[in-house]
Amino acid sequence: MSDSASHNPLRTGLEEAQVAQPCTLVIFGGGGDLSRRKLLPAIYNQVIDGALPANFAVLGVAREELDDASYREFAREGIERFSRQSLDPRHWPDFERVLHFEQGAFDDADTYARLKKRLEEIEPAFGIPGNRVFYLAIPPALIETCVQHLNAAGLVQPVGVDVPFSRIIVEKPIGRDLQSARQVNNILGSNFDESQIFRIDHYLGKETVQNILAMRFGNSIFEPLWNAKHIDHVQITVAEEEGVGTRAGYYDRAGALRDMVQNHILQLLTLIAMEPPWAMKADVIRDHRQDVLNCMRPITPDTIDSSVVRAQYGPGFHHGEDVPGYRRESGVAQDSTTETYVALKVYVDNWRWAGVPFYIRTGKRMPKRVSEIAVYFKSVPPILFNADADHPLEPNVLALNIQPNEGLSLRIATKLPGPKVRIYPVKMDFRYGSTFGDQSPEAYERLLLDVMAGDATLFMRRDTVEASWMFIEDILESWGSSHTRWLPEYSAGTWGPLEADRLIESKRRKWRLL
Amino acid sequence: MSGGTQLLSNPPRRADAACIQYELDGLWESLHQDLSDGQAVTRACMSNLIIYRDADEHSEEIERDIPSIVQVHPARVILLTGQGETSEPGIEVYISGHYCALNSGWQVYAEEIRVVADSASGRRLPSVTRAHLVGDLPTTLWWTSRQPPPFAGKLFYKLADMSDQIIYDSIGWTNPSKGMQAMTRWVGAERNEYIIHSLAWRRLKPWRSLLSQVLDPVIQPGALEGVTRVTIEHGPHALAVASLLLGWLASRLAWKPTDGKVSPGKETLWHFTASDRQIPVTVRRLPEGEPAPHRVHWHWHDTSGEQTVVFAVLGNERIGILEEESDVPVRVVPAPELKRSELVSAQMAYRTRDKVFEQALEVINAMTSVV
Repeated sequence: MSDSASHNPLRTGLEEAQVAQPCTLVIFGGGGDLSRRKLLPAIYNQVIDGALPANFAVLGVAREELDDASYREFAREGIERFSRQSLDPRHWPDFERVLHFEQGAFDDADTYARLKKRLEEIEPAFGIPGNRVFYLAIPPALIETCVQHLNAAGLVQPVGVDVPFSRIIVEKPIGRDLQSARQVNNILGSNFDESQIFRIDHYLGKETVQNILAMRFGNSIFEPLWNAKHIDHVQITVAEEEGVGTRAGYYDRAGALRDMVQNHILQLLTLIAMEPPWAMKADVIRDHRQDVLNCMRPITPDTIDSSVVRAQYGPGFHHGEDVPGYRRESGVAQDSTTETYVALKVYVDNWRWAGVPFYIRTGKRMPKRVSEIAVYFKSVPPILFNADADHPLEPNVLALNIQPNEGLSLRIATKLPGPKVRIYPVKMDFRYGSTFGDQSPEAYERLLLDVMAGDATLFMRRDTVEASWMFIEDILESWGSSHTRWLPEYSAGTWGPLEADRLIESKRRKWRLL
Repeated sequence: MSGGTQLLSNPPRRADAACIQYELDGLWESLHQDLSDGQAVTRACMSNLIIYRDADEHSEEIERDIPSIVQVHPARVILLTGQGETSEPGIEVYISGHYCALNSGWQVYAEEIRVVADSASGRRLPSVTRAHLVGDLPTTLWWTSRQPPPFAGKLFYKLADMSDQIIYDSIGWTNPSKGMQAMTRWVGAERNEYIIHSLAWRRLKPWRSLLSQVLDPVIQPGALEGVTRVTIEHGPHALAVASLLLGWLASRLAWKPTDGKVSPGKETLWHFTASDRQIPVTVRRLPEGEPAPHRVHWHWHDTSGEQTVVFAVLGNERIGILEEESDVPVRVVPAPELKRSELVSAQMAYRTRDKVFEQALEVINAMTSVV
């Protein structure tokens, strides 16, 4: 029921970080790709792990002509292909019973009337006390329609003590610029309380991203060095191997800056740059992340050329196979100026980070799929082992690998064995997968559980979304006024254009070879 | 197993007790030499794990558990066998390694030191153990003997003093009833000295989770406050586990035991008081089945009369929930039965006192005084 549910002494001492409340998960777009690949497998894994309550049901809503039986088949196929744990035939008959489907158009009031009736049948049958989570796995353009119909149909319960909860999960992108983001937030805000809104960014559900806080604030050796005095610069890379694929329609309107930087990458940056929170509470952590966004130096028309590089992939090779350039991809206009790569140099203008550049790069059709944050420490003084100016020592680097091999590594200098003093860099590696044999839950598993438990720590608040759009908007406006007809190209399968190298190349800095 | 990695183990190799570290280094070196691409072997180690076992027909099961434990919780394992068979009087030492093939080389998960002591040499085991614990890491003692810790004497205490937590399991004790009584008293007396965990307690976690969910005041108003009687049915050799489940319920719900009538081998009828009400609880032994709880019948009274919900093990690692006098159909939830190695590796990650467990034992202690 509500977050302040009556006291239950049996809950004391159970180890779960949070307890998912009994509820019905209503998935708008329940017959879509996100549902098949991520959401239904995540739910299955959580049920098998015993993390979800016994009083739980799923109701998919979509235009597709499915019924309960065919939806269960759809779910089964998705789970067999994409689930972390293989489908267990012993548990499938019990699991599939919780899955339901309601066919309907999202702009049709009748859909919501039927949805309400269906929920009123499902809830008593599963002992669910009226708690509902609405997951909008639908195109952004449909959010407004869907939210307004939900409220009009009486499906949104106001926040209160001892009343069933209604929560809504919204996928990125929230808008395509500041104005449209505010519009989406206004619509959400006029139908739901901010505490009921969960804006999902699946990057924040990844184990290594959560480990950033543990590494920074659970160890005493990093935090004293975590400032402009000791850190030379930070590199954040989110590289994708694939091209635009089947997402050309969306991607050509969005581009790398909107698709990756505005959400995932700025969220990573806030976790790296935030001040120590005083409690592990959702709003405390989100306040501290917000402070970082507030301190980011705006990129103006005067500084954009020295701070931002955008580019498009041209033809090249992907694992030895010919691949077309972006403008030759199906569904992309031949004169498109949408960036598939962007590199930025940004600053966080506060006491801790004064003068430390954060270099960001993200792109499609890069040599491999990898996401990493690398913290470059300052070099030791040019004396003793670092006295040879022609062969300076490599600085210490702490690299946090987000994907695919979650873990961290630290590069240190050490003496090679032998009579001569020869210093050589060695890398100490820690990988989650090979150190802890347990499988980490997928990001969506963790995040769905958090919503059912009412924990918003890993979700974006309204002010965060709008502050990150505000930062991006300056760049978009400069680009919009430049009327560029072509962008620099990089060959598919390479690490980006030469212009990006020039962005970072100074004081012996260069992009990491990943 | 994560990422398709396969754990490999060296066969145990006899080593001189004075040269264990030297031999372990040799083992590590030989892995380096096996590599052709110049990659370094890395060693992952989160804990020391001391395992004490009796030399009996079950002792090999422990050996089989070790690779699974260290794969989840990499540790240096020191496996001690008391009353064992040795080729010469004294102790014998064997070393081995458990490691994993990765693309970039071998990842050593764990080094294992096995020490076997004959019946006259058990007292030497702590000295070998002490010399080979890895510094700066927490140490767990997993006591697998059929003797409960309070009956084990000096050897147990010497090993316990090196350890940050002690894990024991009541399943397999030669006299579970007596062992349970001794253990509850001992934990009560020693809890400020040692951090103690029971695998039986961890096995009950699915039951604790499910009962707490289904009987939640929001889901079943009045089910906790208005409880009128409870029946717990368990398989053979599971009295200790069933008692622990009852101890937990009673401690959480502030029930005080007033009396208990034992029908040996069949059932015990307990009476508790809570807010001036009498709550009878029957703990009944079923003639066959797994050594675990099988069914819990929970009865309560609310404005619409007597209500009952039954939690029943259905096989295939599932528990069914049936609400009698209700339209809610049977719900079935997975209740994965964790292997012993999974219980141990999971427990090793929790190194703080579990007050809820200790309070459950306190109630069991009180129950034994009224029976």
